Amino acid sequence: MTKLLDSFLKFAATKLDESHAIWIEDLRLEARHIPQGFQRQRFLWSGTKSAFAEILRKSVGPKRMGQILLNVALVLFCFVCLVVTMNLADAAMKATFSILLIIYGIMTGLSIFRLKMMKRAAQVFGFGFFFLWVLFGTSILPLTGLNIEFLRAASIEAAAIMMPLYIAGSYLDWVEVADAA
Amino acid sequence: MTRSRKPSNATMRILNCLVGNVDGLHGYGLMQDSGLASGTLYPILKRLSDRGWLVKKWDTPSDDSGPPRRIYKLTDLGRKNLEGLRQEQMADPIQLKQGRRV
Repeated sequence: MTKLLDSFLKFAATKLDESHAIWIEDLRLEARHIPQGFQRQRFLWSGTKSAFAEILRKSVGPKRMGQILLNVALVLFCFVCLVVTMNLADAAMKATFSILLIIYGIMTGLSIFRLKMMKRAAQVFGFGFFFLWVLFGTSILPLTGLNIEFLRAASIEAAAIMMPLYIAGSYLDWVEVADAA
Repeated sequence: MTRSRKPSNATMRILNCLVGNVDGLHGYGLMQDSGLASGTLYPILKRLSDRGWLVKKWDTPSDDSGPPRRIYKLTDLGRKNLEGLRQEQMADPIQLKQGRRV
């Protein structure tokens, strides 16, 4: 284990710039003076985590990392919608989840290729779903026979999901600007 | 351009450990005294060294007890800055009490 951690640190030093390579080398040399095996492993393990984080920060960057996390969340939403759609018998519920699946799919695509557009889409969908929630609460539309409570819950839930997506999009935009500064 | 950000709690802990050791400390000793993990400690030591707050020296063991290792010592600039930071903390009791990132 000690050798493995030491090898990783050696590898990490080659992947990072000189200033980081120096502290990694200092850490490796210091580790050889720690008598107990477990203490030495802990020492090296902590250094390995830090070096790995540094490699991630350098090669992936905060914006890309955030985008990956956002995409994972959206793909999970899509997956949940897909599973629910396939297992529902009620036609109206099935249609609702199918629409949500399409919308989350669009959002996933936009978050990968057009983050700025995803922000706008999140705004539009968010307001749209909120408007639907209000609309379903009134008696303007002749919606007799439909499960209004379910439709209202689905629309307010989708509107609520759009809000953090908008915040995430804004944050990732800001990260890019902050990084450049 | 170097940003003039005030040091974190972890940095303060390292500086406080070093100020009491005129001969300097090894990384492992510093880790034990400060209670910080090595992965936190070494990048901070690197930053402090880059800023000229501390100096690194090689300690080559006279016997065959292992490879050379670094000793970290606070410089005059580091001492002066630490003193200034301590005074700032004393002047702001909320910051001192909360021990938040300054």
